[in-house]
Amino acid sequence: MKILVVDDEQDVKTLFLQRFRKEIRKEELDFMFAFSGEEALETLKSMEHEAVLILSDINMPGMSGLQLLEIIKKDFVTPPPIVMMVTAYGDDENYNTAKQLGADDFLTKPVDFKLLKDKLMQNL
Amino acid sequence: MIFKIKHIRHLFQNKQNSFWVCLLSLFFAFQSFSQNNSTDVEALIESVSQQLQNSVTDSTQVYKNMFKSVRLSKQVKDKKLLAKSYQNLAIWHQNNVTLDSTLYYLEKAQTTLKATDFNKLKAKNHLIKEDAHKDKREYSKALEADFKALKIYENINDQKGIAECYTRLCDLLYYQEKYTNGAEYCQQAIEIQKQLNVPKNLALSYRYKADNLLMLQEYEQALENISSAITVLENAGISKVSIAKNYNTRGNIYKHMNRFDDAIAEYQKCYQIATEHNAYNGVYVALANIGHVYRLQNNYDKALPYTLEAIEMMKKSGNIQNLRENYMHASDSYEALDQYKEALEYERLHSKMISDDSQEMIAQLESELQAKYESDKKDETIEAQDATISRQRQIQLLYIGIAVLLGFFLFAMYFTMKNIRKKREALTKLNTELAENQKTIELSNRKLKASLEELKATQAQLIQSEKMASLGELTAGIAHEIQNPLNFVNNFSEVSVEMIDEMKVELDKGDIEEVRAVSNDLKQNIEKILHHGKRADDIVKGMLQHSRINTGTKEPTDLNKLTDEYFRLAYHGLRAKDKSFNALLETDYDESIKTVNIVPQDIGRVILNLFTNAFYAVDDKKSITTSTYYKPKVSVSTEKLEDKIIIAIKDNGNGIPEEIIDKIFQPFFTTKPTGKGTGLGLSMSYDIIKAHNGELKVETENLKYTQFKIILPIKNTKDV
Repeated sequence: MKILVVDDEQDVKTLFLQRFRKEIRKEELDFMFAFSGEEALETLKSMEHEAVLILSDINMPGMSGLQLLEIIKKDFVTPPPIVMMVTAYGDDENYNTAKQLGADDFLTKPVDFKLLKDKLMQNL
Repeated sequence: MIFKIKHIRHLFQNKQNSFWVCLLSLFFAFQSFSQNNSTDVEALIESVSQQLQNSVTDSTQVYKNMFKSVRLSKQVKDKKLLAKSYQNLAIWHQNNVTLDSTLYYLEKAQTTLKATDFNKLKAKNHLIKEDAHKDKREYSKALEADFKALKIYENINDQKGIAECYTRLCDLLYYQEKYTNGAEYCQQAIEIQKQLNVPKNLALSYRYKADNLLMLQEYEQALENISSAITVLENAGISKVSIAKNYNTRGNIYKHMNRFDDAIAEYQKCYQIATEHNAYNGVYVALANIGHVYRLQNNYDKALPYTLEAIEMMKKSGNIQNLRENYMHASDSYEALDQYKEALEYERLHSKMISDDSQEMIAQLESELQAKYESDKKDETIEAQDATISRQRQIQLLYIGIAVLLGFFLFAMYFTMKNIRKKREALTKLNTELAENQKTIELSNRKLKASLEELKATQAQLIQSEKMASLGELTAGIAHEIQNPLNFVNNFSEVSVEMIDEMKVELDKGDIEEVRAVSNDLKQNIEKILHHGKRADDIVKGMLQHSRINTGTKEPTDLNKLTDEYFRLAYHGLRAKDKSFNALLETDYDESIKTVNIVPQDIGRVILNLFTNAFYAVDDKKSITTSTYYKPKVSVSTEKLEDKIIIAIKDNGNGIPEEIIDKIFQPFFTTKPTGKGTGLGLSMSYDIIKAHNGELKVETENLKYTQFKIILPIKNTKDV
């Protein structure tokens, strides 16, 4: 299964590639990157019917992570992707909104990469 | 449809009172044979009544005869005859639709009858009056007249009269659309009339009841009643022409029941009888109705000739009540038959009648307005007169005042002369006192100067504290902004440590290729660490710049970038303080704006202040609103015009109340709870924008939004 990371910070890509370099080399994890909600939707459209895990930031300029989540849960149902939300604010409202919109998991920044790795492995 | 039934009904109703006149006249004609002069007069009155009933013949001759009967009745000094003569005149005018004259003659008849006990004539007078008011559509006055007649009949226990009043009530209520009440009155009339031998009256009650039931859509019952009316009339052997209108009503009921063939059969009967008896109003009503039924069946070919003939007859008869709708029907039929020229012609006639009606109404309104205007003018004249009177009074008072003053002055002068000497002595004493006073003043002056200095210091302190307050707002935002680069620094450092361990392993293995690859990655990581470190550094520098003492020097500044930075800082600042706070942010920057010559710290402070206020407003609304639909939103836009730049900051909070809108730029004015705001934010912002030769404007709508606009002039092209 592919993992699509959505974040407006370009260096997140570099960081993920470094952090998971062993898993990537062993072909345990397969990452794709999008730098905005809009770009993420384009990517998803181009790979229809493929199982995906999405890891998305909430605070992004333009389409927010929550808006992206809503669209994904509504429009991409076969197969339904797993969506994990990441945000700097672990506040109740964001958490509840994300849950209500059907988010499968919720992580707060700074990301604990060990925990994230466990979660990813578990889901795959 | 309702309109049509009413109007047709209206055509038929005038005849009833003539019936009365006839009966009474006959009665009196017989009785007064013995009296010489009176007999002739009575005969004359009787013939007039007859002619009035028939409604045709030589109208001018009838009119002459009526005046003759008035004259003769006066000669024989017979009040009863005189009253009847006046009533005949009233009825004539009623038939000629000159209703004001009708009311005039009724008044005369009433005066004549005043001291008499001719109760039936009195009652009849009220009933003619009722008809006149009904024709003028003054239904409440008509009702009043009817009740007066009813009271007289009740006093003399005249059952027939009582029943007739009920029937008429039923009719009046029909025109006032109180159909249920109307039907009830008719039922009461029917019950009385069944006991008496009055087939025409009984049939009329049945027919009126049927009309009311038709409007109540009780078609079966209406049918039953109209059929009863017809049966009663037939059994009594009453002439067919009196039955004709009942056929018409039955036709109307069938039409509503969509029994179109039955309806046409009824209308045909009505048409036949009316034609035989030259009763034109019956003829064109029947024709118009047949045309209408064919139209309802979309049988335009057949409908058209009927409608056209009805129109011609209505025009001839001068009764144009139903003309308008028949023009419309004709136009519709022509259109359905693709004869557009004719359709247009009739449409024009239709429109013209509508416009004539409107103009009549306008003329009436204008005359009312004129009357009102004149009465207003009269009031004005009275006011002007009042004003003149009060002015004259004032002038009188002034003269008196002047006289009193003069007296006072003379008196005062005498005393002044006397005092001057005393004063000179006092003056020297005063001079010494003044010197002493001056010393005291100098002292207090020094004190004032000192407290002014103190105030200035306090003001500076206050400004500084406002700066610190906004710094406080910034700090949280800045903390968040720094968090992101710090995360990168930490993450890349951690991963680099891991990679160095890896590199060592590869070195031991002697895999130089792999070592090179890892070292390349390491270099990249360290560059990232440096990059994000610098990013954090810039943010801290920005913060220091904000709190730095203002140098007041303008420098070219990227206004969009400045605005966006403070937008984010204000938002994140609030988010960091209150995690549950959330708002939709909208930005719309005019990319044609490059750099603007401003004092960046100052403008930044204004922008930050406006954003903080906006977020406070939406948060406040969110916390008090009960609506779950409210979505806090703050938007910012920049726009470059020819000679100025506008920064607009808008929130969808509850707006600024009208009573405080004038105060918001005053120093120390705040709506925030004590300790939450210094009340200097907007006042300082205002001063800063003034110092830039710009404007700070506010627009707000209660419960909807507030928008602040910073308008900065750009003097020349170098600014941008």
